[in-house]
Amino acid sequence: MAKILLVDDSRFQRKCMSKMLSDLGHEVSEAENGALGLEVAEAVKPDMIISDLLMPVVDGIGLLRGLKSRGCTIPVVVVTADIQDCTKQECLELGAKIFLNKPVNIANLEAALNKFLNPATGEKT
Amino acid sequence: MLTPEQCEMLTEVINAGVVKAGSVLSDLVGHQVRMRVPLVGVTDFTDLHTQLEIENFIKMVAVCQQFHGTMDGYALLLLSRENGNALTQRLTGGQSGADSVEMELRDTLLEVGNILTNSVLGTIANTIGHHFEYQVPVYQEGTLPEIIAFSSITASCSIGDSHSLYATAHFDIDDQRIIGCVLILLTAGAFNLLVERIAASRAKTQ
Repeated sequence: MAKILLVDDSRFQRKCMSKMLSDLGHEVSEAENGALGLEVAEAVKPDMIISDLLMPVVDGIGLLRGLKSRGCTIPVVVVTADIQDCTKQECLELGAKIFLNKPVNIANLEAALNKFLNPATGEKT
Repeated sequence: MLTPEQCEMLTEVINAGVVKAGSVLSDLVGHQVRMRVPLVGVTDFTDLHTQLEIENFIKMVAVCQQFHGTMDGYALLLLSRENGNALTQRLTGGQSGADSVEMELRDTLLEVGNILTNSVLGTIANTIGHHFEYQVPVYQEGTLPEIIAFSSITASCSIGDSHSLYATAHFDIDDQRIIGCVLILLTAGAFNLLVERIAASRAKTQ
């Protein structure tokens, strides 16, 4: 079981993804924008962060920048409705490990997690 | 006034975006979504209700997304209140965890609208090799003139100097037909730039 921090301003999306992550056996923390995401990441020390991009207060790009400036190495999976090629490139350049477009299903979410989590223990590899 | 070739180019790009939106909707609802070929057109605000076949008194719900870049504008997903309720029910089964039916409708449509308008805008952006910066989408309720008034003011689009690019899509989910419109409001300058960019990208690929 891994500790996953889910950052998304959409209650609908948090509910859907949180259920998928719980069904995969992970422990989920939630934050509704990038600023709160940075605070929760500091407090919870998750094994992985899954973040939306378009959010009020601090967006996903701000979150990636904030993590980078803190020297944080927690892998980040960006899950966004934005399908623009240059957005994907920007996120990857800022350190996101995987870029997925919404809506995600449990299979592609699991595949993304398994790239960075030990399948046996669920913890960060 | 658009030439037939310009019309065809715009239709092709918007259609590609709407088809992408249909495929995304299918992933969201977990069922095949059948679509009719979207009806794409360009009109000014005063004739929008005729083109969309929406009476001016009907209660609508909309998710409105402002975008910026070389061209600024406003994209909307527009549904009748009835279709908005049907889509929400289909997606949540009435169990979103929201405190009220109104909140459930708002939360669900905000996210779905964001995903669908992004499918269309992202397809345009990728086609013309341009980047749009998006604002956090907002949910609006009201008649078509009320929603358009709010959106056009926010997008700095004025009657006579703006265009509405619209695509009406019919999505069949199981036995339910959900009819929705994607609207893109642009100033005349931004609209001309869009047509120019699409023509340039088409010339490059031919």
